[in-house]
Amino acid sequence: MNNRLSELLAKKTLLIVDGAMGTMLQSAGLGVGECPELWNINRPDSIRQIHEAYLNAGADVILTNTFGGSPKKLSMFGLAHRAVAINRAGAQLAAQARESCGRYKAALIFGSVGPTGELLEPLGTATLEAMIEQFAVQIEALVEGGVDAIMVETMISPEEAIAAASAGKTVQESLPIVINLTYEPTPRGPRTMMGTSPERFIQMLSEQGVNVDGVGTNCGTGADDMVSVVSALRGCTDLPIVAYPNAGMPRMQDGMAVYDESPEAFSEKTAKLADAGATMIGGCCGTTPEHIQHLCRRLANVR
Amino acid sequence: MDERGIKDSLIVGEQERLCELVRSALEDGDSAKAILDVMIEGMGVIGDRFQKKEIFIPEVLLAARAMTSATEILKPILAESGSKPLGTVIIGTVLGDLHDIGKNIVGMMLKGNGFEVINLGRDVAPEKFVETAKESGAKVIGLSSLVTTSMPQMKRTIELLRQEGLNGSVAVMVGGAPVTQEFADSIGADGYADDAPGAVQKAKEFLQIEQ
Repeated sequence: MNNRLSELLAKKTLLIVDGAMGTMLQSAGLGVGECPELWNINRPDSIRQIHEAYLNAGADVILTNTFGGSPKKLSMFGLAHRAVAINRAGAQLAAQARESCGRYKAALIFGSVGPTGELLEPLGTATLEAMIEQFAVQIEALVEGGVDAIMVETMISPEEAIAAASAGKTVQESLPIVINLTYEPTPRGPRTMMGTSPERFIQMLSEQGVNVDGVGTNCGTGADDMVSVVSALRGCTDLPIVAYPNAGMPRMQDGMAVYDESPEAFSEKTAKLADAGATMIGGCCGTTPEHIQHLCRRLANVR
Repeated sequence: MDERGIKDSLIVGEQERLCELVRSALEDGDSAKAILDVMIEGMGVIGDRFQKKEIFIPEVLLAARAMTSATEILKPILAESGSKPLGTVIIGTVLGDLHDIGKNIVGMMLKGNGFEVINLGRDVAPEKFVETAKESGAKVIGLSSLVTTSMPQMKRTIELLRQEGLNGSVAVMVGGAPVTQEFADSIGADGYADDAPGAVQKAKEFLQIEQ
């Protein structure tokens, strides 16, 4: 493995991943029922600003605003036909932000790839071939737009996650790909909503001969519950481990759910993920550039 | 009838075997209602294991699918004998929210427990819930939301039901990852469920059906 991800990981022992995009867009005025990824076309300045804020906060890795960018997911907004333009623009905006933040030019751009919202056969109606095709369209556009790697994230179905990774390797054999599943705590340890354990997922990857460049977890129920996921992964793989939790659990405020874990509390808890063996850590829902800045400061001595 | 076989094949989601056992029970003269009750017991086991996180979405979907197809065999006979479902529940994901895996599991669990379910899908406007409640005469509505930004639509739906004079006659339960009991109370919902089996329990409570 020799690519920009492995090079950066060789240089720095710990990479900081950026924070939330979705909740940042909501603060910037994204309306209910509006397609977040369409902002890549209609509100490019807002997207660039969010990327710049994370780069200035110290992120080594930034994720494109393309989480729901598969044609299938975009079709829910009647935007499937614009998938290529939306994903390409998403990658380009991240690249422009990196360009404008001079001293952070070493930062890596990961194309964000989230679930299609469909279930694979036999549980649902989507075929594996169709799923791979979906992801291939998205990833090809992300590569055209200039991403360094792909972050398959917030997946609950291991099969769907592997389909995305396979699609990425079809688009470009050398493209670094990281897969993150979302786990929840159960009496028998962390499981995805499909019942997959971290150990089982690693086993599936090797059974299916899928080579990825990192594995991990994101979103879910907060940093505390992620420690066991990271430990489990550390126990069964030598791959780089990625972990970026939400800013705690959402809390009710004025009839709305808000994530309000402070940057300080978030950084303390998330730093433990590095202790458990994660080599790329950052934030998911509810985190802001301040959270990432605090995390960088908290970990300054280890980096 | 082979009660054990029916329950077991439902629990492991063996659709064909379940249908076979249901057909032979009918041939042996068991009543459709009695067979349905055995399957409902089986779904109860599924709900219980799901709640304890011993099983997950795939197991629930397979069991629910097996039960749905076996129930198809019983439906015409149940209809003839005048046997009625427990009640009708309208479910849907609220306006501005496109997630429906969780909501569909709630729907399957409700069906598996003997309810009639009207699934309005996702991105459902408050007006649509109200209109469907009026048309169907359903006494329970289940609202689902996964993204926090769509949660205010739950409140709007409840307000509209009130404006239309349906509060009191229609009970609303809410659920979804970011939804809590506290939120449910704050918007005036009649109930909150943490998961699909919890939703079944709420619906039964609303309709005063013995558990």
